[in-house]
Amino acid sequence: MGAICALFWLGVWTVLYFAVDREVLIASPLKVFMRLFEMLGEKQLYIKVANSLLAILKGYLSALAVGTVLAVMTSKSELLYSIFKPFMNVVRSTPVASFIILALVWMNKRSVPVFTSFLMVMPIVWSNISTGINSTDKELLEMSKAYKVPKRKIISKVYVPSVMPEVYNSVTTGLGFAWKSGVAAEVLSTPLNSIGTELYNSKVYLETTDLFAWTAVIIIMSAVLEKAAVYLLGKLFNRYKGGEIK
Amino acid sequence: MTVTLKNIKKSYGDRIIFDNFNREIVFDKPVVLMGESGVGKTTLARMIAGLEKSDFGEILGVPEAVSFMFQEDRLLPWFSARENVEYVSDGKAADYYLERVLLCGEKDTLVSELSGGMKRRVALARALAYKSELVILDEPFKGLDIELKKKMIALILEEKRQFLIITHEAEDAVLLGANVINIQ
Repeated sequence: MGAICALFWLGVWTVLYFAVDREVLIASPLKVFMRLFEMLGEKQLYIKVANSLLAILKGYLSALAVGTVLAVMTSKSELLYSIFKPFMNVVRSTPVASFIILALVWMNKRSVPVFTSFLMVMPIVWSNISTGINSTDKELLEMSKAYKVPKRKIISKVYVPSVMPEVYNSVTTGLGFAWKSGVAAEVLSTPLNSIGTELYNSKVYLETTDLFAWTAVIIIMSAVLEKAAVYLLGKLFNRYKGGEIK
Repeated sequence: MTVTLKNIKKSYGDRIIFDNFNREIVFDKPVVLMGESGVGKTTLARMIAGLEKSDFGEILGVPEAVSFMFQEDRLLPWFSARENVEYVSDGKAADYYLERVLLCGEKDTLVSELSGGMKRRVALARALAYKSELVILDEPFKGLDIELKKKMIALILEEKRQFLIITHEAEDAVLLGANVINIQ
């Protein structure tokens, strides 16, 4: 089924290519694939992918950590929740380009993708984990209180398993956001040896084939990252039997 | 053991549940709380266990450690039967009481996969496995057939602890040979 769908869209692309008949607007599928294979043999591709990946992962992992800590803190204190909620809402509704341009003023080029992915993912993590903590079954918490279960045990055996589905959502949704916003930040900040800079150069020099090939690299990387995250989380879920790693 | 309830007042909004309620509960044998639905049996048990505060009055003579089996099973769905009992006790007690409630073969089954009656017995095993002097059971035999109910009652009677049991069935009080407190 997947192959049929892929062939269908490849067919649409080919028809559009011949219909438009202008290489600058729509690149030839064959040329894009050939360019992609050529790039796969070049060391530079891997350096650029690694640089982008590293920067985006830095922002993403920091967002996971900070978002989780903030969610725990704000679910404990109404005052903190009232302070942070408007901030998170503002961040979520602000266009990513505004943050990228602000970041360009505030920091060096290398840090812009890190900062952008952090800012795009952190509110998602915060919101999901907060929901998980707040929706923890109150009856189970009361039962734990009745049996005088120690707090650490309540956290590991009640809160953590309750929050895990939200963690799963945050990790998978956040990764896509981090990747897209991180590459967008690279396009505007053009740090040396990065995917975003290559996209920008392709646009400037009207190399549509390269633009399509780099876009393909981004899509492939996005799919690979998502699969990897789902696989790792699956492993973690299996090991996370009873809320603690065994 | 005697638990004394002095001048207890309790209401939820405009609804008065207890107004100057006084009672001495002597635990020389199991005590059964009976009464119509909504009369305040569970509220009284919860106040004795310290899960709820009275609006006025005092409750004396309640031991430090009290087991409370809730009307709902309140089991951790991501755990096995054994892990649920172990949550409030230790592995040895969990194994012992799961065997006693006839769930030896289901120890490692996730509670979410157990039937209603089995879940009830896991909750009972958990209440018994917790080291306590007073065990409060809120409708412990709900969903059990008569044979299982008799076996669970036999298990309760073997325990050298005090029991406060809420039930709607007069037959349960007879089988337990209990002192009955009727709440009006």
